[in-house]
Amino acid sequence: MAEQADFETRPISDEVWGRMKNLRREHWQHTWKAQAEGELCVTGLAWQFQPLLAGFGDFASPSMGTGFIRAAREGTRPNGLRKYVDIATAQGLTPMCGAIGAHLGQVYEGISFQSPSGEKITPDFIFQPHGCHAIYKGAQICSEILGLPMLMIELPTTNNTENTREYIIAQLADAIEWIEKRTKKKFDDEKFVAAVRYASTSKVLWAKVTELMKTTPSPISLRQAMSLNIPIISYPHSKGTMEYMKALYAEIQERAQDGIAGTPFEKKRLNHEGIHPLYRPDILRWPEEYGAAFIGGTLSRGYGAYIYTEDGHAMPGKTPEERGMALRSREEAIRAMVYLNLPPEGAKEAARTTTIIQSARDWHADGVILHMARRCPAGTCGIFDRKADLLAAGIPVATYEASEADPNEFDEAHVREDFERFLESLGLTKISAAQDSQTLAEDNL
Amino acid sequence: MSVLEEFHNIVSSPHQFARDWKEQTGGKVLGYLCTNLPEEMLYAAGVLPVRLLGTLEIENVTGSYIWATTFCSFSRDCFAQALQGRYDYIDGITYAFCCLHARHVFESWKRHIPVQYSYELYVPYQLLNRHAKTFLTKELEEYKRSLQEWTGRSISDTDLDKAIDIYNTNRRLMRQIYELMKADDPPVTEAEVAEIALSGMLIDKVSHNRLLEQALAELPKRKGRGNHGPRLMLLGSVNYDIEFLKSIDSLGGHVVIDDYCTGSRYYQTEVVPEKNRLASLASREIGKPPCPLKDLPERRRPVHQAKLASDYRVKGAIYTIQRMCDSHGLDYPAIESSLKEKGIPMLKLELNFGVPAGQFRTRLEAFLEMLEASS
Repeated sequence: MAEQADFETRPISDEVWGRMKNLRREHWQHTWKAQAEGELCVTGLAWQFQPLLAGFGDFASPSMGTGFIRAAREGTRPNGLRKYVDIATAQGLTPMCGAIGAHLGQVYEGISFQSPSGEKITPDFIFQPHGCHAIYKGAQICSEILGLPMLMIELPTTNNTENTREYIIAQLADAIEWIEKRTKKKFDDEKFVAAVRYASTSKVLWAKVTELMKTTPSPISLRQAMSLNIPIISYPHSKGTMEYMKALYAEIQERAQDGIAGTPFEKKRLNHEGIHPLYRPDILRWPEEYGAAFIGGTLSRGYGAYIYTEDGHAMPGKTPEERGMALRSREEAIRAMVYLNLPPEGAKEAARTTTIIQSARDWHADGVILHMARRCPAGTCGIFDRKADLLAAGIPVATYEASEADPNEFDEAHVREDFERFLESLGLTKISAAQDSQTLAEDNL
Repeated sequence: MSVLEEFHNIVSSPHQFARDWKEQTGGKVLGYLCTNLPEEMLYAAGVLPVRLLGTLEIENVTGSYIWATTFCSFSRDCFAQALQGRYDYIDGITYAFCCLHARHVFESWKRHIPVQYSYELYVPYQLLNRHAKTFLTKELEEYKRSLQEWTGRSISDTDLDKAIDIYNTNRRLMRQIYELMKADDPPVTEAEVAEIALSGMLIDKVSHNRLLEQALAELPKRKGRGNHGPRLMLLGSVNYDIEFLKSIDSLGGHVVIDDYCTGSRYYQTEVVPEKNRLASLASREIGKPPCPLKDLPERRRPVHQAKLASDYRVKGAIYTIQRMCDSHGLDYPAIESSLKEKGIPMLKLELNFGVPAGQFRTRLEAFLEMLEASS
């Protein structure tokens, strides 16, 4: 007999959900037409600072973080994704993380800049404003395959100092001139300032949305958050995204006040740390079979604007207005963008384990699942110590091995076993809940 | 004892010099990861810098600290030494920003091995960016403040000038050693040169300079060994496996130069004095031949390696890569292709602590036969 739901669930309203889907649709439709209309066309991995490109007007970004985007898009047919990783490996690129492999495989295959209906575009350059060492090298290889220049912005984000901020600011100022020189397109300060304003507001609002996930029950699940945050990952600089984020925040506030949940049960609340296997978004729902729910973690915090305190708390960041920063010129807008990314009052990134522990506490998580992504040194540096620290803090923790973008590394039986063992260790058993079709809006991104 | 035996003894007992130095001087010893560190600053502060290395022995102690599925064998080997207490004389460590594998060692070391002092020095990836020098100079100022606080000793320009002079002399002398390898029948083997180079990372530079001067007086008088096999260049990840070098030699391969950070690359490029001494150290970091991670966005390494190949009349290259070293893994196709354009074939071998002697022998023999057949 089906177990009665503990919490009332409700779909995200058509207005908000529809807006997100419209933004996504418009983005992709625009992408394939933009270049023909004389707009900038740029590619790269793991982006930030999109407002800088928006200073040149609307632009196309066909493969912004291709490995990740494609990984998500290929969710229902991971064999396709597997093929791209294999293609890159066959070029002698080994060892290499799954995301870089997926990205480069698509570049070698020539599908990164081709729409599903066959329209092709050629990027003007590689824009690489962020990354671990592998992402920078991956972008370099991509630029060589395509014969494109690479614009690299280095972000020493482990180093939260004025020297670092000034270094980033100087690079961004140069980047504008670099793009002008190569593309002969004129930078528009007004468009740039507006884009910085939109992106700052959107990213702070996303941080506030995720903060509402501290509520019991969480008004949305982590899986829902993964769909709802698409606009701030891909086009945070647009006015449409800002308006969407305002509507989303208002709705999530209302859901939190009314006790509306993302999932019908929260017998145990869980955080997921690390980027999950993007080709298998369904794993974020597996705990629901046991009446548990993922309600927070790396990717719910990711892409928002936060200030991390020395003791690990993640708090919504400040918009330039809240910070009292004027936004009248290019220089002020660059500074505001950098302050949003690297707030002076924030802690060093080195406190990552502390942040994971505090996030588990602040989001009232009963346990944490860590993804050990094979061949991803950035995501797994110190992972055994992190696990030990969580346990020492009294937070139950489990790990599973896979890869964020390489399905060759995903052994479903093993991962399921790791999840189920952990959920059972938390005292849970499989429930037979009535499948609430309203629980989640969509399974695929 | 010959001077070469002295170098050999230093490398065979890599901790002895630092232990003795510490006992005799009462000074502090600092272990560092990666050669992007301007060691002159440590010398000027009266600290002995020592390169942290492994022993190439199979280890079974890092399993609960560093994930072998993702992190390179060198990083695990290095940390294994610390866990086994072999670096118990180290007072401090510094990680000069390079790859995340080395960073893991640094983070784990700070947490699990008691040291008085630890510092992460950010060295930019894109060193050719026009703002990199200003940024790095300020980072070095911060490092200087930190070192002064730790040692309780101020670092003056005079101290830095002296250190720069000693280090520049060391680089100059070491390059003269490498020059010997340009001969048709060099008076030293690459295994011997590798020991000379490695020893410089384990002892203080004044002592090393003294030994180098002695070596440069003695070695040119030595006769070559008549190895006229294909002239080879070694490239790739950190590699200090002397037995591996000897095995190439025993098969008739004639290694004449390397581009390892544990070899010739460490000794490239002198510091050109500037009014701001730290700026001059930053300039050297920017100007020296880079490792893959600092070779962004444009590549400088192929040009440097092509010059080495030409200067040393190289006929083939061996690219050794530590298992799970993605930095050199991602660079491999570009390097292979650039050398191929110059008509230099390359063999790739994966290192994992020691080398699989049997497997490597077969592959090396085939590679050498191919080179001989095509010459």
